[in-house]
Amino acid sequence: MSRPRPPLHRLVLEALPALAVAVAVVACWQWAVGHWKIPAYLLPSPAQVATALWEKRVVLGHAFWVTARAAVAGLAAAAVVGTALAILFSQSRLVRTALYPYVLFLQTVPIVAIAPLLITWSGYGQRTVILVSAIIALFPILSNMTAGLLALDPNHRDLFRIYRAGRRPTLVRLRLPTAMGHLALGLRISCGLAVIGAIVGEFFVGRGGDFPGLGAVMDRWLTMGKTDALMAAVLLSSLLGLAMFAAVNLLTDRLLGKYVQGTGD
Amino acid sequence: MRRLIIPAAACLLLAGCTAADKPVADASHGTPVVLQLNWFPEAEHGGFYTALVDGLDAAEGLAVEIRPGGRSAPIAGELASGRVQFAVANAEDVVMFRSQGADIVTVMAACQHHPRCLLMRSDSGVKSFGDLGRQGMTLQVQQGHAFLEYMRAKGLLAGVKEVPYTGGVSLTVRDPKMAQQGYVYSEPLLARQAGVEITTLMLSDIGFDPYSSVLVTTAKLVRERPDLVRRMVAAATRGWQRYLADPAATNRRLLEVNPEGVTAEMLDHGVATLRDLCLPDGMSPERLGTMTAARWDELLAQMTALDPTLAGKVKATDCYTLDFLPQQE
Repeated sequence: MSRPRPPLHRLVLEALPALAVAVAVVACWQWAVGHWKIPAYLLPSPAQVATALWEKRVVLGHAFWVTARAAVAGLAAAAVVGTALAILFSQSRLVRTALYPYVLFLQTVPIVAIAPLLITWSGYGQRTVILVSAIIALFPILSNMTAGLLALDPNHRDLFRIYRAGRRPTLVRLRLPTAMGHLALGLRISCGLAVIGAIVGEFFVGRGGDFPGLGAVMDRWLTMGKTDALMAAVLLSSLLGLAMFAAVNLLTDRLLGKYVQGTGD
Repeated sequence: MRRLIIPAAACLLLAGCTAADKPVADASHGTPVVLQLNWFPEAEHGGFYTALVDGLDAAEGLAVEIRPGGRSAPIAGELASGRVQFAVANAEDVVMFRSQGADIVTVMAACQHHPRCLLMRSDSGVKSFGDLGRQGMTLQVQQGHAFLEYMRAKGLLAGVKEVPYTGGVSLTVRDPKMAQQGYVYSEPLLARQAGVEITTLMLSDIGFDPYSSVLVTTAKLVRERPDLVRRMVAAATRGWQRYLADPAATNRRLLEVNPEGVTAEMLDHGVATLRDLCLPDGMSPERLGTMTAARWDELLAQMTALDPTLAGKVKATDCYTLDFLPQQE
């Protein structure tokens, strides 16, 4: 059962403490830069970052959407592949014990080491950026979904056995609904990783299409020492992560809400 | 056993903290000075190491520590914070630092010419910069470098696919349609060692030729401790003169401090190339390190043409000082 949405004024009141912290941090930052005369190339003031954000708004606007599309595609690919593999793993202990170590390998191999290999196989284009994003986002979805498909209430499992329900009905009517909460959890963890993956992919692939993504512009401004523009891009990357988190939450509440029984707010 | 865990963990932590690199300083007395490099130690830093290894720094009363740089050497920040007194950079970097508000000044220029080049396989069919676009090459470059914008402004990147350069020569060696940025004494040799014929195109041939391996410091140090700067420039100049004449001992030291990044063959090749870059057209070794106002004016004009916002932010005369160099005839 999804919870009833609270009234709007309650939502605003709940957001106030977080907003107050943001205002306090920005104020301290502005004061610190002025008081200690910190040079702009080391730590720009909030005013300088805001100016850079405005001056480069066209480039940053395009970059935001390029990276957003790559991250969403990467998350979707990770969700599809992760779910499919999790179902496979839940059906056969042999397959699970044979393949799970290699999934762990995929999790631990540093992406900066395999990115050049991915480029050799998949070329310089958006497809490779999405591939990097999907690889980085895969593991939380796969591991949570596998755990969910295997975490059966013994009473429910026995009930299905008594009625001699076969493999398919057990999967579709018992395991999958049980696992939906875990899938939602996995998606929430992975959406931030998908953004990181898209940005790292862009460091290696560069401009994958008509416009450079956030990773590509960050790399360029890092080389040029434009720290104010760099911080503006970093800010937008965080916002993208937050936006994806909010979207994933909304989607899982709507679509999977009736299956989620107390596995997280 | 359990009682040992916390002290053991603490020891491991502390061991990590104190395992700092031993500073490469031979003299334990003399004014302590830190020189920050802009990359891993290579032949392009040779003369500065010679000054250390041959005792030229100590002769000037300086106890120099050379700090290697890497992929992102924060020269401006290190100088501004006072953690280092001198650094190695290229002239176009100095312009960039000044445009960001860092008050950095060039006091000596070891290399009169810039080693920046593009390299690709000879069977790519590229013989000049114009061929890059005609042959539809893919070029690995770091976005944001001045030389790239210079090429773009001359229309040399039309039809060229730009991709990020993340180091090494492996992609260029495998693919005749791939070109990359490099320094004339490093990457081409690595590629040839991998067994392919390589063509190099020098940026200096098309007019982009800032000073390189320049010694920089803060304007504050020049004002407050000019004698220290004079001594450092003198030691560095003598170091470079000696490195170009007899590099053996210094190259041994470079191999020690950068065993993964250089080979003896690379360093020998590097010195041979540096002789042409540092003392071109029969320039006398006494003139090593000197700079002219005309070259700096030209660089500022080129960079301002690429980025008009520089005009208000950087003046050519602020980027360098000739006070510590032998006078022009």
